[in-house]
Amino acid sequence: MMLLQLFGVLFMVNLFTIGGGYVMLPLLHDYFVTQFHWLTNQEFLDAVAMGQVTPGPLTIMNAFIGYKVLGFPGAVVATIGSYLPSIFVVTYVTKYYLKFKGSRVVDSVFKGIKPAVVGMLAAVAINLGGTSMVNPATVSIAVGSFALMTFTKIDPTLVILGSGVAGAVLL
Amino acid sequence: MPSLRQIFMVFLKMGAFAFGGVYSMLSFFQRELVDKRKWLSQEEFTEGVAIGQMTPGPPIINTGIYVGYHLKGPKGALAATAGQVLPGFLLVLGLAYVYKEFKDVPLFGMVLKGIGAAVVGLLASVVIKMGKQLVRSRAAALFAGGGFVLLYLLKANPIALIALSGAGGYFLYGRSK
Repeated sequence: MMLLQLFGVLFMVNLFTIGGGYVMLPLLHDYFVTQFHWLTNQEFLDAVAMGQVTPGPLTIMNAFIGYKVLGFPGAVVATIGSYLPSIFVVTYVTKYYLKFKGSRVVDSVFKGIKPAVVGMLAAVAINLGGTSMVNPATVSIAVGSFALMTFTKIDPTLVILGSGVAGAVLL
Repeated sequence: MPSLRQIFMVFLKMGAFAFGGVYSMLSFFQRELVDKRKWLSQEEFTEGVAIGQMTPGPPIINTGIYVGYHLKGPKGALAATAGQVLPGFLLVLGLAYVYKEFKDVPLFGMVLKGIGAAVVGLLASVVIKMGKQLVRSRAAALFAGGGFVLLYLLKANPIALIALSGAGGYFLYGRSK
């Protein structure tokens, strides 16, 4: 039953989020942490980190969530649920590309969604910050990685690995 | 015309080295698929990038699906996706196993707390970058502020928020001209 629920949520979330990666985080957080209580805030952050240090899109973090909740079958179901919507929609759109190209309806809808997602992501970041920024050391790690990511072109993988080392030394 | 096996193998290779975000990946795709193997023309590739960005899911996976579909229909799309996803999937599986086994070791816990804090910094940086790019008008600021307030203070359902902001976009930009 939970496998079906996992599949359904990931299929829906991936169907509704254009741009992938960070855009899906507000939805995933709402389902897995707030509604189902399958993950704590800390575990959700761990999942994001796993998705970030492995090659490929952040979406693979869903395999981690699946494994965490339901073991190997969970990981497989989560992965299929995450990429299946893409396969359906991309093959369909490729077939009818010219019809969609520059469609005013599609463009205008996304002109509304995109900035709303920015605001939603900010809300999730603050929520997660409340869990993880608990003392001067963790606050400095958060501020430091923010500065590195905003002002330099450093690879996020390095920031995450470095902050793991910093955590072991400082905490 | 490449075989399914060839499609799978090329995407497996690209999936294993897919570090550094969408843009560095796109140049990798360009080199492997257009320049080296000539599976696609430049124009077809550009179309694939555009489609990848306007369809749901990760753009780079979607561009891969487009390429696979273009070369060998639905089976090609599956081969491209499987190849691209497999390396990350196996690595995440390994990490998840280690995570479950060692979660309660104190040192590992400290590493995870450090990483958790960094992820928050990363997210904040993404918010700033996306905001600079997308929130450029008063209307866009209203959508962003609305999304924030409704989710943060009122704990509204995110899918409902996405539907609502899409409808708002349509009424604001899509109807008249």
